[in-house]
Amino acid sequence: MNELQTRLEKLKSQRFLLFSLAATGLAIMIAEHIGKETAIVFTNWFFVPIPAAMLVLSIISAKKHSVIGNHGKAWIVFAVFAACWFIAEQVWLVEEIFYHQKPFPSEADLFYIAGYPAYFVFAILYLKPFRNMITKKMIVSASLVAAAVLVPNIYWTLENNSGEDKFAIILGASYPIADEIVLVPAIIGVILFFGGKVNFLWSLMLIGIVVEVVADTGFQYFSLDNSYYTGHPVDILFLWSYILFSFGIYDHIKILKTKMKSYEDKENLR
Amino acid sequence: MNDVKKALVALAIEKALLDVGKPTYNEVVGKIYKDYHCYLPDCYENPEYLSRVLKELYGQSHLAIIESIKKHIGEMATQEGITNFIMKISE
Repeated sequence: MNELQTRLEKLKSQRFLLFSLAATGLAIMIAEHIGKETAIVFTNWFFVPIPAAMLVLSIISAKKHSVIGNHGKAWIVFAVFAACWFIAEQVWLVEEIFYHQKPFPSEADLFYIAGYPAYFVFAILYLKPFRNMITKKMIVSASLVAAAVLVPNIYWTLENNSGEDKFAIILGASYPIADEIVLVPAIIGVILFFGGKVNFLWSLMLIGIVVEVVADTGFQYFSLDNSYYTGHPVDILFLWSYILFSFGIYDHIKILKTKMKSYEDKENLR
Repeated sequence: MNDVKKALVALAIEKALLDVGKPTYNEVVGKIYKDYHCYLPDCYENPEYLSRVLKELYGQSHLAIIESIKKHIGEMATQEGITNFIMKISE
C-alpha cells in the first residue's frame, strides 16, 4: 500500500514538473508576443522566484543532512552554488531594470562563474562514497560525450565576426565550457545510480545541465548576433534548468524522509 | 561472543552509512524496520535486508557501501559468523 502511495506521489510530482516546464515556457512566450519591453520586465522578475525555489530547497536539504558525512558537506556546497546563481540573477535584474545597464557582461557574471566550482565540488563530494564503482572507462566516456556537446560553441566563437568586445566573447564562451566540466560528474552519477531511487535527482541534474549547455550556447550565439535580450525564448531554457534542479532536490528530500522517531517506538514492533 | 560480533557488524554498518550521510543512515535503518521489523544488529543474521534496502536507494552502486562496511569490519572479517555475513551481503 505504501509502495503504491509512493508511486502515486512520484507520478503526481512528475506531472507537476511537466506542468511547471510547460507553464514557464508558455508564460515567457506570451510575454514575448506582447512585446519586447514586456518580455524584458516579465522575464527579469521570473528569475526571482524560480532560482529562489532552488536555493530554499538546497538549504532545506543541507539542513537535513547537517555536516555529517560526504553528502552533508555536498549539500552545503550545493547551497553555496544555489546562492551564487540566485545572487547573479538578482544582480542581472537590478542592472537591467533599475540601472538600465547592459547586464552582460556585468558583476552578475562573477557570481555565475563562482557557482560552477561549487557545483563541481558538490558532485565530487556526493559521488565520493561510491568512488570505487567509478571506472576509468566511465570517466573517459562521460568526458567524450561532454566534449562532443562543446563543438557547436567552439565553432560559433571562432567563426564570429560581431562587434562584441573580446572579453564578452571569451566570457560568453566560458559558460558552455564550464557546463561541459560539470556535465562529466552528472553523466557518471546517472550511470552510477541507475536503478536506484537517487537516480531521479541525477537524471534531472543531467537534463538540467544539458538544457543549460543549450541555453548558454544559444545565449552565446544570439549575443554574437546582437539579437539577444532578456525575455528571448532562449531564457526559457535557463528557467527550465532551475526547475529541473529544484524538482531533483525536492525528490531527493522526499526519498530520504525517514526521521529517527519513526523507528524508535520499539513497542510497535513487538 | 555472538552478541559482540553483532554489535561490531552493526557499528561497521552505522559508520559506513554515516560516511555517506545522516539522512541515508536514517532512511536505511527506518526502511529495514518498516519492511522487515528489524534493527541494524539483526542484519548480522539477515544481511540481505540491508543489501536490498541499499540497492533500492543507490542501485548497483550500493556495492560501494558494502565495501565500506567490510573496510570498517577490518581484521575481524576472518571471524566465524562475520565471514558468513560478508559472504551473504556481497552476493
